[in-house]
Amino acid sequence: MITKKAVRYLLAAFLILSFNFIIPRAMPGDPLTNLLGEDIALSAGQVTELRSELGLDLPLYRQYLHYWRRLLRLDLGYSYHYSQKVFNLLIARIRWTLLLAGPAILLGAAAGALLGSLAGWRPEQPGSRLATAVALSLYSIPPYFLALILLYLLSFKLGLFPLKGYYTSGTVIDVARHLVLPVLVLTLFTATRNFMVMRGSVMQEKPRHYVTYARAKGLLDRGVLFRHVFWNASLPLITLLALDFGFILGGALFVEIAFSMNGMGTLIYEAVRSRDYPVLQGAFLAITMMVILANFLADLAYALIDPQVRVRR
Amino acid sequence: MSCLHLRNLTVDFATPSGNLRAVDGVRLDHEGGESLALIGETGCGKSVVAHAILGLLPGNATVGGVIEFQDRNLLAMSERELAKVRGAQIGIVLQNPSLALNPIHNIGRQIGEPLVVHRGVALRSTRPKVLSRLRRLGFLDVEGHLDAFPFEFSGGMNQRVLIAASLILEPQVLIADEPTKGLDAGLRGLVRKEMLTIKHLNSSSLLLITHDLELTRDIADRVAVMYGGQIVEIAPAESFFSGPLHPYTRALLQSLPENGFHPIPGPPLSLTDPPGGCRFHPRCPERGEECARRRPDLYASGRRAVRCLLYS
Amino acid sequence: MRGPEPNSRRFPKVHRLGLALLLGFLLIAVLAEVIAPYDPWQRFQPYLSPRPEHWLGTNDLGNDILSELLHGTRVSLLVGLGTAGIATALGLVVGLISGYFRGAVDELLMGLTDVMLMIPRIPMVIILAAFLKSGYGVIVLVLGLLWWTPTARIVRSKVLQVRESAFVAGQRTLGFGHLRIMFSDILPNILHVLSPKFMLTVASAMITEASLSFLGLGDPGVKSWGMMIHFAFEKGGFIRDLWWWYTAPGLAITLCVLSLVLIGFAAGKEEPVAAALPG
Repeated sequence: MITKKAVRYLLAAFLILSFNFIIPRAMPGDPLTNLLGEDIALSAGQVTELRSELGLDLPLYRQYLHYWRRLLRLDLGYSYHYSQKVFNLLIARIRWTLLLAGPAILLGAAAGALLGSLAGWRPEQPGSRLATAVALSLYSIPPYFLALILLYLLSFKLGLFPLKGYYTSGTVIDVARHLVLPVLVLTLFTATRNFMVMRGSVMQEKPRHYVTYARAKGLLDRGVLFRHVFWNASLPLITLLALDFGFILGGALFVEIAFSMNGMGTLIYEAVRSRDYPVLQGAFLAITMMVILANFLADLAYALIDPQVRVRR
Repeated sequence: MSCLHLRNLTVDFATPSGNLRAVDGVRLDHEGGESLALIGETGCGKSVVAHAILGLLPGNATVGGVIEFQDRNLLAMSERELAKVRGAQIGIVLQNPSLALNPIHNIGRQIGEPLVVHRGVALRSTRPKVLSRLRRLGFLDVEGHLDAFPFEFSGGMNQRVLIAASLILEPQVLIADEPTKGLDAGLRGLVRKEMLTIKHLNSSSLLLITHDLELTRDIADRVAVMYGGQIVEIAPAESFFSGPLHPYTRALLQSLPENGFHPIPGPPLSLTDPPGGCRFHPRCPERGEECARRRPDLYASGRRAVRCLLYS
Repeated sequence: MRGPEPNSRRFPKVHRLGLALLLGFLLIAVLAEVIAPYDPWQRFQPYLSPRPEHWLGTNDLGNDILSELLHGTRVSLLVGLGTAGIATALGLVVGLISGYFRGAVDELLMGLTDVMLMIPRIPMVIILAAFLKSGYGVIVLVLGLLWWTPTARIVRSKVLQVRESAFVAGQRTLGFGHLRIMFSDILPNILHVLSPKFMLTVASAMITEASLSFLGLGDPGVKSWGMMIHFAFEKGGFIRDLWWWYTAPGLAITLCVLSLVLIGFAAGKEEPVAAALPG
């Protein structure tokens, strides 16, 4: 079962990487510009030189092979806008984005799963209703808008948190202070989605037979929920987390932009504005690879909980 | 000794099409050590009675009356107190064993769970008890089975797992809800053997909910028949099979394959709109004039009781 | 010959609230020209704070923000509905074919779906929009093409369920063609899963459009809520403390999405998990 999935992931990676090859060549405009970005001024001589260097006069399939060779050398191109190799740029920026996204995903999963399961277990109670109403409202707010509001209220007006960036002085505490609001926003973003799914999942599990039997064994409410239903209900949530990773990263990008933090988000923002295509492509690649990895990890987690995936031959 | 006394038990369900009275004034005594079979057609309310005893009915059910167990009224207990009784003093084996087990927990954990819940011990320490239970129920490769999951087992095996889990705390009363429902002849024989084992090896009393008359004949000491939410006849097993009193019981026995498969005439009972007077009278071959007007009580005589105007 | 009817849909208060809100927004979208106090492109004095002549003040170009807001309803809703329309239609077709015919076709389509599900949508759209540099039409198309996968999954699993029921088997023995069965029997039974998904897709699409416009990938020649927030951020609305400029469209987006979400989740009561999955 795992190997079948692994094949799927490799195939997906292969397809996406190939797709990445096609885009600059298929999009309107000169492939050279598409590959280098629009932010540079070149003489005619440089243009011909670069064209042959990039292999644009070669037949397509040879360009394709070239592309793969460069990929395996981790050569993702050069950004004239930043005067750096794209790969180095990405590495430098990804760290920060992960620092933001990592805690948010974990906190969001825990909070969403826990609160969602409680709300789904006793949906008629006023506490559950309130929680659901709050979750729905937060779910509807675009993440960067929420970021802007919190930034305005808590940083601008009240001065509780720094206004921008990942750090000012560079100490651990300083970085932590900078991270509080962005992580909060992103956590709310993921937690509300997880909440709704977990709530629904628990509601679906409740009428099942094994739940009655668990009660028949003498388990109290909390016991039935947390020894049994919670784990069975968490399976769709794990699937969601995997599928959603791309979406969460998207949210992280916007949060970074709102808080002017130097991660992938602002990198992409700048790249869009200066039409720095190599950076955009590299970023897309990086994110996609992370999503595939996340999916793979989620599959492993799923297999840990659901024996039918592990044991069935 | 364990005695379970049901007094005027009523169960109502609130449904979109109105109130449904599934159990209507049931009075039943289950003596310690005896095997009592509660039989009837599908929908007569017997399974509801079983669930009501342990408070396992869904939220839209309203339960009335008294269920006396060891000088306490189960229906008056708080959820906490009732949870102490469930599994430890009164056990139940639910229908559909493969669905009654949690698909993501292994067998060892599910059988040992009552020990963890009631005695507060660690799961690991339940191993020896679990293993011995499995052996008693006829499993061979018991060590290997501990780590197996329900989906790897057949329905019959899961049935036995369920029995093991329900018996591990050696409750005083074991309720078996339709243990042979949907099983083929071979499996039915297996279950019959298990029930006999339980009856003789354990000191538990057995409340057998079933519509399987053959099983009843083999296991039961006493038989109670339900129809339309009411008890219509109670008798010791022998006299029940040799001389049934209630017309419904007679018809039921006639419908057995060996007696010729005679079906019971007439449409089944509607619980939202039951007939007036005796509930069985529209289908009763011996009905009289009064039967549509007067509601018969349960007329007792010695160890037998019948709810029929013929015996008033 | 009709199969079993889907469960009757109750309309709880929550659902009705959502519907009422959505209806309100739809009305505004249609009647924008009539209700708005000014033409949204008409210029007055810029950076004005709220006052009787301009309830929400004016932006950097001097346009009346309230008029912008009302006109923007149309664009934002159209983008959302357009995207969801394409996505749902595609998802429906793929899911139907996959679930109905099964076998190799199913494997192939589901493999494709799996791969597509892994493509991160937002970055993909950002790149394509950056390359293509055009307006909302393209965005709608691209988003629609990326968003059909969750719907396909849900449709497929429902079709698999319905397919097994006896009445469909009966139809086959009677010799009814595939298409006929798909449309007259299977389709009605999956509608009650499809409509909440549609609502939620519109909601996600609207948030995405707003986010993309915020990045500057929208069409500056068109008034949408997302573009309003973009310009508020870009042209100093934040620094100058002109909070009404970006709060109004932000709230509008939130409320509109909320109305869709309320309908989507309330109607999806029978399949609460499927309804909540991404997309």
